[in-house]
Amino acid sequence: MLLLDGTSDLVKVTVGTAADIEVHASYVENNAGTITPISDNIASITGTGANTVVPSPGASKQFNVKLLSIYNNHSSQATLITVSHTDGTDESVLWEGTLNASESVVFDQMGVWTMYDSSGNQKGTAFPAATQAEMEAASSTTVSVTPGRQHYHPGHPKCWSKNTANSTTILGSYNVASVADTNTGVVTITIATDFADTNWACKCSLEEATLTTVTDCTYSSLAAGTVILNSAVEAASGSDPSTWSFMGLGDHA
Amino acid sequence: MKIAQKHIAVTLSDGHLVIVGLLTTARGSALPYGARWLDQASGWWTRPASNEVIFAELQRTFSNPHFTSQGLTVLSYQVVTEAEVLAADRTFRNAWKLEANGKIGHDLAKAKVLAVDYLWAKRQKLMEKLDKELMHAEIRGTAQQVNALKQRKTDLANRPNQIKQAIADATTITELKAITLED
Repeated sequence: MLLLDGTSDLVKVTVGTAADIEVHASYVENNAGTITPISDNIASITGTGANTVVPSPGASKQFNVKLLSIYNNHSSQATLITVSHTDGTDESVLWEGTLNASESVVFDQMGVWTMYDSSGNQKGTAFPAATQAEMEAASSTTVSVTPGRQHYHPGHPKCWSKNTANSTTILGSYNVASVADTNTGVVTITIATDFADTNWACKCSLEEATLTTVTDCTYSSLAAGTVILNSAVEAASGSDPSTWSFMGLGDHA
Repeated sequence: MKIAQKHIAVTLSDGHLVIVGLLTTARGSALPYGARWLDQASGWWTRPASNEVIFAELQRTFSNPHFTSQGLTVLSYQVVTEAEVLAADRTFRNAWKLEANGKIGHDLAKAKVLAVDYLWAKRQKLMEKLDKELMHAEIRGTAQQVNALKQRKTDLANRPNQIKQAIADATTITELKAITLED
């Protein structure tokens, strides 16, 4: 609720840039126990400056504002809106924000301000996008993850690839520069961006339908920018898998 | 956008042939050497397979401790097609070498060493299998079965001398591949 209980009390809407602002106010008058509902559609505000949208109640009366709707009816012009309450001496800002074209803000009887977009959908409370440093620190709870920076989080894989064994054909990859077939059952992965050190986690796996000789995938000679994957074998040769897959987690240099 | 790559046949200082799949169009959060963004927002980049890029990439790949600890360095490199790589017989892949015509071929002497290793490992497994079968036959089988298994073991034990000669006499990879433990 929003109460006006003095003869100088009133609610104002101040427009920053000339647009086409439509205001509706629903409130009740209390006159010594006699309740009178009032709804008021204010004439469109096309200029700038302060406009009274809920007038002062008369002497010994109170207004209780149940709903206040402010809609930017302009086709393109955004404008800053300031809603304030004054008692004739002091003025308090109740809400301030920019309304883009066809957006609105509504104050309800629970005292909640809600913004609606041009499609009439409620606008969410958006956190600002996290910076690379904030993603790497992974501690903030007041910024949001965006697709363009998600990969900087320490828990997110930094690189991966899937490639064939018989032709070194890279089927898919992220942050990988090259893959080298160095021996039967051995490939060397070169990462596009080095890790900060050699304390990064490498996970590798093999695709092998027959499972006759290839039994497992291991890695060795892990460096900041390269790693060697090995297929653990039963026989001395003939141990190439169908495909190799790998991914690395850690801190980029 | 799709991944693109070039295949580089690299001969190391010990004569070993490595095939490098060099990405020329791919995706990532940072640019590799010699690359520029195609679409930075989605992370797609591209780079030419120039000598400068290839050289830089090989330097990075072969700076891995696995190679440096053995003193292995790049002797030469050549761009090959994927079809050439696919056409290469991988039976004795570790004996690959780049032929004068730019095709992937084999170092026959190295292939013969690999053939011996492979057949000996296979013979060892077969011998272990026969030992188990013989043990079971001696407990539950007939004398005929026992004698047959003993004969197979004897044949297998005598086979290395024959195989050694066949491997030594082989003049092509095809002949080498045809040599088996069986007569």
